[in-house]
Amino acid sequence: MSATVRRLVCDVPLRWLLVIALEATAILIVDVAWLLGLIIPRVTLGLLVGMGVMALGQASLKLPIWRLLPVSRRQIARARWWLSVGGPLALLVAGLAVALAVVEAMGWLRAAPVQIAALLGGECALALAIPVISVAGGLSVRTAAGITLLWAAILAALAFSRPGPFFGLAAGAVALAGAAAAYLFPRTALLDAPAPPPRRQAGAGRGQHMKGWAALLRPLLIYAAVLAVSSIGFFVVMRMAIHQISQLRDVSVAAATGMGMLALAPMIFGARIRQSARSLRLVPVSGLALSSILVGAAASVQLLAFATFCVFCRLSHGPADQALALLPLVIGAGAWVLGLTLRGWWQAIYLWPVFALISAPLVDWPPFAAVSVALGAASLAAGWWWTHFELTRGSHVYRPWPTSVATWRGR
Amino acid sequence: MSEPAIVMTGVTARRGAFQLGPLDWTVPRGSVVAFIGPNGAGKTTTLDLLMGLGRPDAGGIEMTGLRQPVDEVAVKAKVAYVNPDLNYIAWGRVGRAIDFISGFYPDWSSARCERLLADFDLDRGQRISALSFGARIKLSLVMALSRDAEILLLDEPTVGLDVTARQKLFSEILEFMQREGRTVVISSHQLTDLERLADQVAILDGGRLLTMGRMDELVDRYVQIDARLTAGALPAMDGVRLMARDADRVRLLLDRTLADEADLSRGGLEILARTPLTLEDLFVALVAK
Repeated sequence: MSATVRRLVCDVPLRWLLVIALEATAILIVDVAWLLGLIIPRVTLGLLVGMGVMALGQASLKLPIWRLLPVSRRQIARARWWLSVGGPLALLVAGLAVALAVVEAMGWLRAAPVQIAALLGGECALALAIPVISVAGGLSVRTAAGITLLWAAILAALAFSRPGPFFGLAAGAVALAGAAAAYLFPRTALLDAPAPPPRRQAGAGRGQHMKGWAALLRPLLIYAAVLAVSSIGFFVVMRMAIHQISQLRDVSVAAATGMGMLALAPMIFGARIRQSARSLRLVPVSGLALSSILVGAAASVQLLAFATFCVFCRLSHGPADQALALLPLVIGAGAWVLGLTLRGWWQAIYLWPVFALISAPLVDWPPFAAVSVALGAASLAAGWWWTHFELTRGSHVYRPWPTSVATWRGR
Repeated sequence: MSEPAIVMTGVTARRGAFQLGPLDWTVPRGSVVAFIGPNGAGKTTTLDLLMGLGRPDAGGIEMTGLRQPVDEVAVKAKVAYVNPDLNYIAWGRVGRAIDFISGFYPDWSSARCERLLADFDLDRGQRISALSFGARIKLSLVMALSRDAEILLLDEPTVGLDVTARQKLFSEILEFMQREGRTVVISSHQLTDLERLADQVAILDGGRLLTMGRMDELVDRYVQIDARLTAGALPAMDGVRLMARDADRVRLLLDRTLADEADLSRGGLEILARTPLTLEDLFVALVAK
């Protein structure tokens, strides 16, 4: 690593050091728990995907400024690789090494080397897929995430019938080969990508009123499709990832993970709203109506995605019942996520594993459906109130959006 | 030192439906250039291309004798860029962003940086996310002016700045120009300020350079003529552009390098008044549809 690349890579703010420490702890817990044969913490495997995406997002956030510095495109691409691929990879390997040392010292190591390698392979595949595709392909985080999720869903659908350790090894080998290729041949296309054409704002004229709303809400349908695919993908991937480790029940955990993904739907929507919050508040609609429209639209997207999820589960003889019991809770959590996103608390992404961790052990509890409805309704009301508060009295939503995708114009 | 600061040769760049160029533009060293044009004319695209943010589809760019994008690292070391879209929020606090950026430039002056921070009422401990829009522009200006860059590219540097900060910016630019061979390109819609500050002007419209040259020569080159038509129809003449018409009264923009007032008289026009143009008048006249 050259001195310039090192300077770019080592520019990590203190709060990110805390996030990295949290991630390292989570990895250690997952690995130790796996080596001890426990099940619950494995749900945090999903955190690995978020880890790569967040590291990539952090690097992308700085791209507009990096490109003004006297550093070459290749050096920028390398720095991006180290931040989003090399760093997480080192964290995974170190975490597993420490976990192995701890468990072996206790004399409780039972897993065979091939199983340990499969675990590392699976972790690498989960954590590195999106960053590798982004760095090697010169793509934005959003595009890379879309491609990866589709790829994961297709792969998962093909391998739905309980794969063995070979799957983890193969996925890890592909991820590492991709990481090596991304290091050797980093693409800088992202640095040359033209600025997207200006997006339409909501129409201000009376005749254009509905057109303006349609323009705002149209992308939701696309998000609904992406979410449906990703929730199915995560459901199936989790089911496979857990099943290859042990013979323990995987259905509830997988359903909770897939539904946890669905709970994050309003985050994408909220981010879009936040981008044009000022414009949106200028249209002649009361804060009450606006909050209701936004929460309603987010819930509609979740329902659409859930319908697709159910169809898939039925077709694949999966657990639609568990998912149905979780739905009210998901919609309620979604309303909270909308408020969180408008507030700018992007850490809401951590709700996904938390949601899965809490709900997975409870989903088969008989009164869970009633609890889900009650809690879901309460959460929906509270989430609506929060959204309303942010739009009418909050100030964060009207600040410049800090995580906008980097383009060549520096926005 | 005699080589131009910026040379653009046949530069073309297509961005969706918009096409910039072909642009042929030379900026002499030691000049302050007012780079003006209506919204969407391609000013930011041009400045981005100069800085290496994106590449032209055709043509060549040279900055201080260095070619883009071959020498892009060296170019970036010599050129400072300010744009309202620059966002330092990823670094959290003002001081952290400054510490990071300053490490890349051997010519960074910490003393100047501290003075600029004080002048622009910024503090190293301030959270960037809590800064107002104007304060963020000030931060970008601090980043650019703390260096000893050879070329300053300023894209809308006065947007969001209060009057005091704007005056300070202009005095900083004048101080910058005291150093030998420095060049400033300013894109702004504050034409009155630019007319005072700049000695060169380039007007861009629809992705093409309408005109360029020394400010005084350009303003002297054009004159506004109010005239009465004595011959019925307005004769077609090179260098004469109709700006407004009311019955037999016409207002014309006359390019003195192509036509003179005698030509107008011969064409059946009785000249009633001649008005010298300000930069703003000239701009409006040239880009009027």
